[in-house]
Amino acid sequence: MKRPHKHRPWRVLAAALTTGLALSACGGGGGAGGTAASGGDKTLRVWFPGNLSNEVTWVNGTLVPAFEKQHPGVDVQVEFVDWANLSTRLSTAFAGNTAPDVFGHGNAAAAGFADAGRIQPLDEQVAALPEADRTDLTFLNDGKVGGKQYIMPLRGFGYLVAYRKDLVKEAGLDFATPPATWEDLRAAAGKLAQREGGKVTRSGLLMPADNTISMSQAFGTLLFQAGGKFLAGDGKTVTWNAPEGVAALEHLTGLYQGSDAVSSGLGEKTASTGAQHPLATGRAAMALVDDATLKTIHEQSPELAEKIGVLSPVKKAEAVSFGGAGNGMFISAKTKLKKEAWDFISFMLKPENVKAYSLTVGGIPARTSVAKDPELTKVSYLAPFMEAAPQFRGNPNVATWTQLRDALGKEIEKALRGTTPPRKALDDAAAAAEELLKG
Amino acid sequence: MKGAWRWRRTAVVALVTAVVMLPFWWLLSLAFKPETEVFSYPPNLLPREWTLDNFAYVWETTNLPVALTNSVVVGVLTVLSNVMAATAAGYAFARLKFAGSRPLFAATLGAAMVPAVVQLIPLFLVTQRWPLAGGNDLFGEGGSGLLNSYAGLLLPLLVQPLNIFLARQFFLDLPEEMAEAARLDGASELRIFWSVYLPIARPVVATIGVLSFTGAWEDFLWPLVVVSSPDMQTLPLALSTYAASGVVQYGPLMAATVIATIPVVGVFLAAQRHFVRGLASGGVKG
Amino acid sequence: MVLPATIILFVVVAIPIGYGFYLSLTSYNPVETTGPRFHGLAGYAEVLTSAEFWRALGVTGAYAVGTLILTVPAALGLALLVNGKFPGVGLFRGMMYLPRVVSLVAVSMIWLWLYSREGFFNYALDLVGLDPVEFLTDESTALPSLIVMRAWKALGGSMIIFLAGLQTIPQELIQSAAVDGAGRLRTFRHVTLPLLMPITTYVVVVDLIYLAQSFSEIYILTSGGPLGSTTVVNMLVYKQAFENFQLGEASAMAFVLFCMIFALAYANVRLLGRSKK
Repeated sequence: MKRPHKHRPWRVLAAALTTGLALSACGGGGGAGGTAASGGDKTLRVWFPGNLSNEVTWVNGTLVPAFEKQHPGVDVQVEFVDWANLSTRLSTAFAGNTAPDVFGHGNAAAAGFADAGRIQPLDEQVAALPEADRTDLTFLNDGKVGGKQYIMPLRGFGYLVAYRKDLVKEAGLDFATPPATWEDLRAAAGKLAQREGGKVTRSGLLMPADNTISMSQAFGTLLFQAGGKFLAGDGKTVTWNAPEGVAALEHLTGLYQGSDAVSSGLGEKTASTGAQHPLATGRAAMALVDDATLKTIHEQSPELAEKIGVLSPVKKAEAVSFGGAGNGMFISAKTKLKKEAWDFISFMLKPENVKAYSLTVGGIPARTSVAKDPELTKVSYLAPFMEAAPQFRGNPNVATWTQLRDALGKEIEKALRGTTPPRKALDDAAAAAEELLKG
Repeated sequence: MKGAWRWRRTAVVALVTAVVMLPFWWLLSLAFKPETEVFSYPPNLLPREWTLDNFAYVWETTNLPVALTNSVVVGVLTVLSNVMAATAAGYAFARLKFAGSRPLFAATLGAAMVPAVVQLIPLFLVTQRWPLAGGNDLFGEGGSGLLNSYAGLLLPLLVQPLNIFLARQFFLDLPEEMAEAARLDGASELRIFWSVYLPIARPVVATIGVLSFTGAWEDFLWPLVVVSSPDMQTLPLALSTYAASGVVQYGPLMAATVIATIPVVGVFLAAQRHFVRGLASGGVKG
Repeated sequence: MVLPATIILFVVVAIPIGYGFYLSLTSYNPVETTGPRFHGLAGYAEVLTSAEFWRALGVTGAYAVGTLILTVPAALGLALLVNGKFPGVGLFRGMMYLPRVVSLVAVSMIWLWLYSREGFFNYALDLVGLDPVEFLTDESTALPSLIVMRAWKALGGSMIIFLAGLQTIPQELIQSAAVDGAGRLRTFRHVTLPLLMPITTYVVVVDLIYLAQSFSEIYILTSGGPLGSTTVVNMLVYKQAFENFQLGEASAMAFVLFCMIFALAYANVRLLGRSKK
């Protein structure tokens, strides 16, 4: 084949395509940027984690207008980023230096961002708050990393055992004196479980086991109740394989494994599943649930609301449960609007806003005083969690926590599914974690 | 005899289609059910009470109309640029011998094999540093480049390497002799491509159109990081809000999905008319 | 003629990939302010010695091959069925393409329900008196369940490509074969199939490329469990990059995956491409 006829087509198509590109570039000019606001206002960029529709409505319709009215000259630009995508958004934003002035995230993220120098310590601002406010903010201490305040928690969450009153009655149990210890709860679960041909068809006590993360939280609940901790106080030594941890995992595994198993459904999605939750469908008589999941059950199966009760945390050594600060707000290290950023956060933490936030979004309010508000205490899915707020214990605030939890969760799943004995699973997880902690 | 085969064929196709459509039955039924009826056991395959609330909700109170418009704009521009650039490049790879053809083709194909996750941050930086756009200077400093714009959304979609591959495979299949005849008449390569091969290639052009539209329509990861305001949201972003944080709003999600699916089906039906035999299939392969 | 495509690909593909490759030779956490720190092949060494990675690679292979075996012959068969004019053909083609275009989020939610304990499949099993199956939460059924869903989604896309391929086969060849007295099956084997080879190559290679990189639907349906039995490589890549913020190592993993896909795709192009001649 001859060659000479090849150069022209290159040029023609190149021209056609360049035109196309130019056209598309023009089409998009309008939406870009967003930093230049009208009238010389300062634009405060805020990212909210999650995008529940009622949260969006409340923030855009009530919170932001009220703040802007009080702070003329500040234009608040809010973006809602779903939890599942938050890390992706943040890492591209950090890489490109386009991170917002204020952003929300889970409490567990605080240590990593603080370690990387992406967020500012807020101790000065907190110290300037009235004493009454500081003691009223329930989860303030959970927001500290290495003794410094880095995140301002907006609400709390926790895990409690919910049960079906009708099924409990049917089984001849009386929770007028509720189960208070592991043994009590386990005995009740034994009576509530139903089996068919060696398989548990109705769980006596379902634990969160959607994935390895929730398995690690179920384990955490029992670990704390046994008096154990994930890590030692220095944040560098693994303690989950101490005797308390082994007891916790053996107890947890015993619910699923062995001839006297009382639960089934490992790996099944239960978080926030509402009408599909085993408590709602009747495939579980008791279940360790978080406040958000209980809320969805109430909302999607309103006919069941009356039939669901909630127990206070049981104990082995301590009557506590997994929980604590939920999501909170950070101030970006690079912000030019430090004062406005703090103004916005403290505005959100005003009692009336804390109350409205809990009512719209759910979750334990960030202020102890608000948790006593009659409008909130009459919300039946919220009240028990607000009451138990002082009993919730959370993750250690260390930078590598998500990786440590991943290592732990994997081994816990092996124990729950009976492929590795509990003690060995925890030791293996500890060995993997110590590698990570060494860096 | 022939008629019987036709009807038997229709019956088989109908059966297969019915099986394939089964999940959609449920999708549609959820879209028309009230929230309280979403999950019941045994499953009721038809709503007991039909409602259009979900459609009204997503259309009137959410960002769906804006997202739909944006997706159409991005989709149409993607189709145009892919049909032009990818078809031409595919033809060149299949038919023209030029220096570096093989390695260039291998590189093009290879580009499709690198997981998008690791291209994300580099691509974000390229978009952000785009010279002379969004307040940037000549060196890409100072502004936000093509972030949060149609151009930014389009950037990675303009030429999809797999479309080049598809076009190449098609043109490989076409007889060489047709080009030789035209060349003897003194036609240029572009002319041969344009008036000899492109008319026969209608099925491939239609296929590339459908595939690139679909690709743009379902792209999630890139819009997620490049878009930062509701007015630039595309459909996948808008849809993801109904399944936010594990709290799935089944009715609205399915209603929005139904709405979001209609345009692609429209594009498909329009394109599939061109899945007919090319006009001049006279050339016989040697 | 390749120039416009090349220019665009260079800017939006080659530069990002080149930079991504550089990152794979570094330790880079985008959250940290320090930027990438070059450490040569250490990231690759880490990946190649990780048992988790090799296991995920095996899962990815099983997932891709399983789906291909289900889809490609079925798609070709369907394309042959709907190639031609008969009542309702347009509609049938459209409906079969539907799974390919419906939002992945919605589709995953539907399949999550279909497979769940109170879902359609278990309801159907119950109707015929069989025990319920824990499709997605049992180690032995999770991956096959994902493959079935993926095959369902991929079927229509592959079908239309085969269909377009069938349309370019000169009718005369088929007719002359028929005149020679070749049966339908023989015509298919000796005329249609060889001519479809380039397109079959495309379908297999492209499906392979897509399948090897899949993870969203797996993430929604099983999150990689139970016991890691559905953890594919791209899920590890995503996790490393955006949960653990180890972008350097994530990139190294991605490029190892890339090499595997490239080798397979190349072998395919060679193998299927040659058999045509």
